[in-house]
Amino acid sequence: MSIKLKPKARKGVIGIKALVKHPMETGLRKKKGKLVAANHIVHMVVSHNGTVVVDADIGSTISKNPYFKFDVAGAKGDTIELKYKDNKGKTGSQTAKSK
Amino acid sequence: MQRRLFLKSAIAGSAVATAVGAGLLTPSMVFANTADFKAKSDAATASIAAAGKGSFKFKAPKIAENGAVVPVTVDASKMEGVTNISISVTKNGTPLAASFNISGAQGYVSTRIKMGTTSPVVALVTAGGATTQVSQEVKVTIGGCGG
Amino acid sequence: MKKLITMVAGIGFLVGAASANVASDQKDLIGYFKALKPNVEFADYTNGVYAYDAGSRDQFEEILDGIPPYEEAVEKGGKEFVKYGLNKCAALKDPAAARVKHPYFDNATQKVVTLEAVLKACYLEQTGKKLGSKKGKIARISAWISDQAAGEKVNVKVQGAAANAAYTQGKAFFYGKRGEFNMSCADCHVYNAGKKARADILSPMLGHATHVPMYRAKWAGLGTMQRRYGGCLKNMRAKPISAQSELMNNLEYFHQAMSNGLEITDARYRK
Repeated sequence: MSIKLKPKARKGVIGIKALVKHPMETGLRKKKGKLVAANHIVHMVVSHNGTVVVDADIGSTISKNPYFKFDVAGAKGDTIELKYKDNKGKTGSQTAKSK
Repeated sequence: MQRRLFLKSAIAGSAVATAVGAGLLTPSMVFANTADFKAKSDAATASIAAAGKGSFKFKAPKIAENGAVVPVTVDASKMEGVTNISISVTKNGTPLAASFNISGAQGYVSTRIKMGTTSPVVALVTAGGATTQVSQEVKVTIGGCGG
Repeated sequence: MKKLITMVAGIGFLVGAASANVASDQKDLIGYFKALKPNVEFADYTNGVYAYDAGSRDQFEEILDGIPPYEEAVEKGGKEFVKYGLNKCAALKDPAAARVKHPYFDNATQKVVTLEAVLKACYLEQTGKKLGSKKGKIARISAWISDQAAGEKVNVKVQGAAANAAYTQGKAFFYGKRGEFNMSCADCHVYNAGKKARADILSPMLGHATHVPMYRAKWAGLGTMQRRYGGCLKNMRAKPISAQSELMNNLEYFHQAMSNGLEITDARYRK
């Protein structure tokens, strides 16, 4: 599952924009009469230069292909990493250097 | 249903059971949106009832263009010592949408949520040990055109 | 109100007349919309309905300010443009120019040619396979091509008797009643633009062409102009008309010409 990570530094703050490709199925939706199994991110961690800055518990109420924006004090060139885990145990991660 | 799943995998000696055994997957990870997350959701709902009105900014549309993608932003960046920002959709099955534990980032979160029906959306901010909330009703409607 | 009625009657008169004059038709339309919404400038119509309503405009900007949901699809379209050798076709060598040129009237074949028609022909030539007309690959590639022209102005040319005839047929279709509801495109997108149809604010037709193909939240995907036509016909419980047929192409020809002078944009998100 791909992750678009766009950290951008401006006046000492890095605005981190992230778009994670994930169906975020609630497990309550029916398709052609059958329930689509729950399939969504449950946990997500954002790190700045190796230090965890956001540790999130995520529910299925977050939209499909979730978008997040966070702000962290930092500068151009800093490393931002996003890692997630879904209810099926699948994981994804992406690293980007702040512009 | 969750119990049956767990037993099934335990009996079958499946990858899940193996992974659990190896400590790679803890039960809370596998079933997170059930017991563990639901408990967090119930705790958040209780917090909302107890919390006073927050002074932070909470932005959500009055009428959602699309109930599947409702942009919401919590901006508590001017507050000191923010440790948690949570978003809850009162009328959703499990109201808690997400709980962000902040430990270095600013008290600011922007994301998009799913809403099944018109409902208050509540932003909870915990800072310096105290939790405050800001609520806004978001109307979700059925559209007319499209194809 | 009286002024509006005069305007409406004026447009009706033009439809009745046999002549086709893009410039004066558009001038009447612009005048009509200016009277309808005096505070909205012509250039604002690039963003269509979002120029009318603050609440939905806010959401539009939030979505764009984040990472637009169509970004990845459009990037993929760019890769597919090269992957399938579409850049080898003469008509598509300069993607930005291709966007601005189409739709145009080809005097050799005596038909309106849309960008999608060219894409389909080129794809067939390069791969031997057929490309759909409404969504998926064609929408992605067409969107990427359109992105290359962002900032340029819509400039559909209607010159010569045959081109005028095609334009006039398109215009007649737009203003003609159809379907079980006996409504015309104009009923919603001209005469009732800005008003609500259930929970949707009806978009003005001025500016419809600046952001095609568009990403619709309702589709959760990209779609060509003619995908939208198909949807509308279905909503009006009208007889379906095949995409890329002569009638649909003539409609698109007229429709796009009415957005002449407006800036092409890569902000292609709509409800």
